[in-house]
Amino acid sequence: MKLSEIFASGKFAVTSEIGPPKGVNIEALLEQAELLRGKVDAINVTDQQSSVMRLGSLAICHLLKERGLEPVFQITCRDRNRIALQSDLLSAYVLGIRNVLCLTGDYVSLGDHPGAKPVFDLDSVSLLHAASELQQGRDLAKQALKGNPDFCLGAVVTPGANPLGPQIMKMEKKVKAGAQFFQTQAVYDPRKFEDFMNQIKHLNVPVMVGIVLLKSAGMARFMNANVAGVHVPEPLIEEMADAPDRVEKSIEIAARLIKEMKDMCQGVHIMAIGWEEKVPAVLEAAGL
Amino acid sequence: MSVDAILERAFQNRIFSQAFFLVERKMKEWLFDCQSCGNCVLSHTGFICPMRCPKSQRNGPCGGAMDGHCEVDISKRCVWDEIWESTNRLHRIDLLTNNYEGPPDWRLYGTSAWENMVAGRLESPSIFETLFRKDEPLLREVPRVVFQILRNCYNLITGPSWRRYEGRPPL
Ligand code: SF4
Repeated sequence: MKLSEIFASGKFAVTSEIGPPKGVNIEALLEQAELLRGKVDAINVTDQQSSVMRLGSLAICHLLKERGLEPVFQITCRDRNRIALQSDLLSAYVLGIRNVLCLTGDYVSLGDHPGAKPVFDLDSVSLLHAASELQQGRDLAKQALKGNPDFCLGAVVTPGANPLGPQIMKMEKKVKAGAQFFQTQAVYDPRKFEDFMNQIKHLNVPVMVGIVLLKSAGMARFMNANVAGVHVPEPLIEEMADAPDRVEKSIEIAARLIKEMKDMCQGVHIMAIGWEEKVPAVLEAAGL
Repeated sequence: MSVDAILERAFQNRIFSQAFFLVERKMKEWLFDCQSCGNCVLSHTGFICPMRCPKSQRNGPCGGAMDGHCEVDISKRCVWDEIWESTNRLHRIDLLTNNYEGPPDWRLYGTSAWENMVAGRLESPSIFETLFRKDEPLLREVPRVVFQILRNCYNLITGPSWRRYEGRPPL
């Protein structure tokens, strides 16, 4: 089922995320996905996140689909030129994949093959444009297709970016290029998120707020210093540091954030980064 | 006869076209650290070349820009931070928002963007349509734009900008 149908029904959409392993042992990954069955509307499968070479997103999306789970196929511009990107979109469609998240991708030097040739033939906006063109029955070279795919196209935005202006400008372009929903970078400050949502009201596009489970005070400080557009407020860090049980606290904080932001947006996207088995508990605590 | 039409004629002369490209390339290298992609969007991006970005982002900053610095090397300024500043100073944010920049046609790499423009090989509109604001007197607009170009050039030379071939393979 497409995520757009869920937004259209007015339901608060819930997605989570799994990352394919480096290698071919996928039992653990599929177990993580099983834990989410019936609890989330779709599961994002990351495309070699942080530029680390791994098993591909397309194959895992297909396996999820076979098991009756709904995948969101993440596709980045880092490793493929416009021919391969369009081809992979068509491949995804025939494998039954309907939700696609179009991203630029991290730079190669941040991963484990820093000497690889970066591609970036398209960017996230032109990738969305290419996907929209395919849906119209033609490719980027304006050649006709035999049968058009039909996707629900998604994109990402960073509400905490500084400066925010260029982010919103690019978000507008993504909507014009065909983005039907947005998932955001991690948000820890509901007031700032509310400001952001007010600034993009005119775009009229569903936004799913991003929640990254805080694992420790150290992780929060690390993200503040190193992750673009993520700011964990000091009181949250202290709360984390003083907690006797980190896991319990983390779940409580995530659930609280979701409750506070639920009415501002159309969905939530939970990134557990290794704590995938805690996601059902977060959803339960948040009343979803 | 429009400027475009005169140039189109002139470019048919091989000597003119090669001499023109020589001057165009050198000027753009000095002023903008131009990467000679042949698909120029400088007039939309506040006269900052987006192809200097390690990820060649032509439509806006990637998600990794942190307080105006680049995710690839935090000591470098994000090219889109420069573009945002320059277009703001020129009051031309509309050029960023309203223009979808398609991916470059790589067959044009290393050729004259002006020649490609007048020959109709580029999808973006003519530079003459976008260079100056229509509702402002030219007498004020021309010095404004020239001043901004020089200011950008000064920032490029003295600031922590990405320069040609630094930290990424040549195009
Ligand atoms: S200059 Fe760096 S941070 Fe800015 S868009 Fe390019 S890769 Fe991203």
